[in-house]
Amino acid sequence: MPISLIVGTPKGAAILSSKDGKSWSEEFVMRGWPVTASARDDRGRHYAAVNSPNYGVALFASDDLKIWNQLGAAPRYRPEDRGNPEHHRIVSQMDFGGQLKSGGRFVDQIWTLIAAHGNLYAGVSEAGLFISRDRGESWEPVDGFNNHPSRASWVPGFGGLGAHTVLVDGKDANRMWVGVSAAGFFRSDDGGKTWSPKNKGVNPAVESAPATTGQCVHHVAHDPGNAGVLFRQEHRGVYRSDDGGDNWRCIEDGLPVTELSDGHRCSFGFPMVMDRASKSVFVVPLDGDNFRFPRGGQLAVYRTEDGERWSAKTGGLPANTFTSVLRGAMAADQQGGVYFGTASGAVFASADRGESWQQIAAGLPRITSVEAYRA
Amino acid sequence: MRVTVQLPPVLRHTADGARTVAAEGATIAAAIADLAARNPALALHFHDEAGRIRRNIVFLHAGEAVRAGDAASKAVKDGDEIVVTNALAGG
Repeated sequence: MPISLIVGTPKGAAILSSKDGKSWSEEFVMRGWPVTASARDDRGRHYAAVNSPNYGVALFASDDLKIWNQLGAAPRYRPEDRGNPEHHRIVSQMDFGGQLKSGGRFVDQIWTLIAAHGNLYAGVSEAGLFISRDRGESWEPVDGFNNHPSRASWVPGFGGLGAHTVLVDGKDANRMWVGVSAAGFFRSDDGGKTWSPKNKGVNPAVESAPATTGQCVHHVAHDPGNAGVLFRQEHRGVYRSDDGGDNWRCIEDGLPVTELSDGHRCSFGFPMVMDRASKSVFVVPLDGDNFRFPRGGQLAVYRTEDGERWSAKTGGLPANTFTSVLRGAMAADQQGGVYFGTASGAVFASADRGESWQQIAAGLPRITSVEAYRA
Repeated sequence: MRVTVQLPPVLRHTADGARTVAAEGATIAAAIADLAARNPALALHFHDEAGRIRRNIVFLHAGEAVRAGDAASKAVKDGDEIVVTNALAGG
């Protein structure tokens, strides 16, 4: 069955397409725009989020993956929303005019796009959640999340204060989750009106961080059809929840455990991806937060089939490589295909749930997002 | 005043690929606002949430580089050309 990947980079998106999963064609679109996320709605339209420190955030849409048209709307905060000073400091390298000093809150990146229940959801930086009910033609802020009572305690991660993970229950549109670096994971059961931190059992990013909203979640995966079973890659370890995030427990049997910069020992990485057909889950561990490359230079994907024990899958993956895989740069096509892109611009594909890998593209810029779409 | 605004290559998709577009206004900021009012996609790129011209945009006009914050006070004349560019970074 034909498969297409939207591979986002800081200079545009590579559209990788294959009819048989073996031979791939490549087109480079949205040239000049950092492409940070993509999604496909239930009517087959693809969306891609772009951002620029000069010209802001926007969305493109395409019905054929060839012609991309910019939409006339994008997530934007209200003029009166106040921003996080520490986030401003992190993103202000390009603030030549010094306007961030005004204290406003700005959408500087769309980290993730999700299509569910006929809506589009965007998780953004400075951390927030937006929803579109008309295929991206207009966007509403989800105030219950964006103005959460704990917001003043949220501390930005290394890349700023970003809402990079949004999950929606496939059976209950009122139930959704958002992950924020480094304020942790939140759940709403009432359509976004109210939100509760869901970090019980997860180590805070640093010992001094708030116990309830000080977690540095890196990515979370689930099957929307069985939404309450969640798998979580955290700065400090890999976790699982069977009750919608109310409780978490560490699952690192078989994963490489490494010493972090502060001495804590756990499995460190960024992406967390699930193949819904088999319920297999995939991570790409790195050798801690100091080194941030695969241990010993062997690029390895780890898979769990039972949600408890992990095993390394290295067939076809290079040794002596010192790159990384970013949180949004891995995807499953939900039929056994798994795909990821590296920070050094290579794309790998597996048609057999990670057993074997094939390099299908190289020479791209740093890869920040990968999504896979079956025809 | 009727002026010509030259768009940077990354924004020309909002004008069907055109390098320049016509605008009306007595200042650079007014001409940009005129364009934004007629083109929602372009408006996203010109103005931030507070309604200000985005901080890294720089205009080239009459031999001068005009920062975003100064665009409202920079008068233009009929037939002027305004080049939209951005602050340079890197080296």
